[in-house]
Amino acid sequence: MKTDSDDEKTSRKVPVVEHIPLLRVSWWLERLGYFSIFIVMFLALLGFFSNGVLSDKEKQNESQTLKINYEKFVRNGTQTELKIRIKDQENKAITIKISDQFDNFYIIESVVPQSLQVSHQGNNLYFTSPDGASQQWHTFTFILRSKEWGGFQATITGADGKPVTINQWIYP
Amino acid sequence: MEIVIRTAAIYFALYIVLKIAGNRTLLRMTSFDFVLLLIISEATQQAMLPDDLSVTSAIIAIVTLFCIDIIFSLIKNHIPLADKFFDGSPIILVEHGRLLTWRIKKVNLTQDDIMEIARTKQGIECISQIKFAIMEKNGDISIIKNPGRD
Repeated sequence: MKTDSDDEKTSRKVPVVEHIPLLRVSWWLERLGYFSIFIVMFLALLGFFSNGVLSDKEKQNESQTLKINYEKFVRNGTQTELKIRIKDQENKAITIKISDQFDNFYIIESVVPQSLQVSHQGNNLYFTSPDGASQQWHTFTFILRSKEWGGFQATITGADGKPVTINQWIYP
Repeated sequence: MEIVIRTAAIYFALYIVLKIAGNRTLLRMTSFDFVLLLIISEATQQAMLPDDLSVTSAIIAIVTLFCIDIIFSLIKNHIPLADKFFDGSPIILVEHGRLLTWRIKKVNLTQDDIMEIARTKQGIECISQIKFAIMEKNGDISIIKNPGRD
């Protein structure tokens, strides 16, 4: 025997033509949608789309003379900060080598300190700063604006030649 | 090329979000919903045409939006099932004075919501006076009065 509940789940033809099976699919998708948009908001709060706990990264090289703070997730067209801290070993100029696709993915908007000299060899960018005292930490801040989206990888090498590789995902 | 892709992406993102939010958001607009729409329009404009004030870009974005809309209409006209899937189908919520509770729950409405609309549209006082209450594809609710119960 048909119960009231079963009867409700049957499509009517009069006064309008219903399509209950399709409506049930769309209600199910709607519930899935609710869940998805809450997850998107939650991930955004955590920094999955830049600026947050999941995005902020710090990496250092084996000899602990080079520390890099960067964002794992970046949105295309927005500013991001790359902070490089380097420990000077000798009394000579400090050179930072940034390799690979740096030029293709980013526009360098500003560099602090502004006295850095920039040179370009092959795929590598070299930033050179006159040295201060030895065994001291020097901080270089790059304000960058992404111009391409996709996976970005760069190898940054400091004074002692021990590199740090950073991986970023730039959202469209 | 970028403008067309950005515009299409925003169109589909908005379509999905508005589908998820349901028809009620647009149809029963409160002052908060109005503010929400203003904010959405500002956010989408920024995403479609960032730092671009040219007339050409605006025209490309508008043309793209209309093209997508026309394509959607053509699909819906040629495939009836697609029309039902994208726009939904009407659904009866009250049948000969009987509330169809399972359906009402599914469309996120209450008996009070239906009675409010029935009072406003038809001056109906009790549920037995309703022959049919039908939620249309656009989210509006049509009330058909029961002729014998005036």
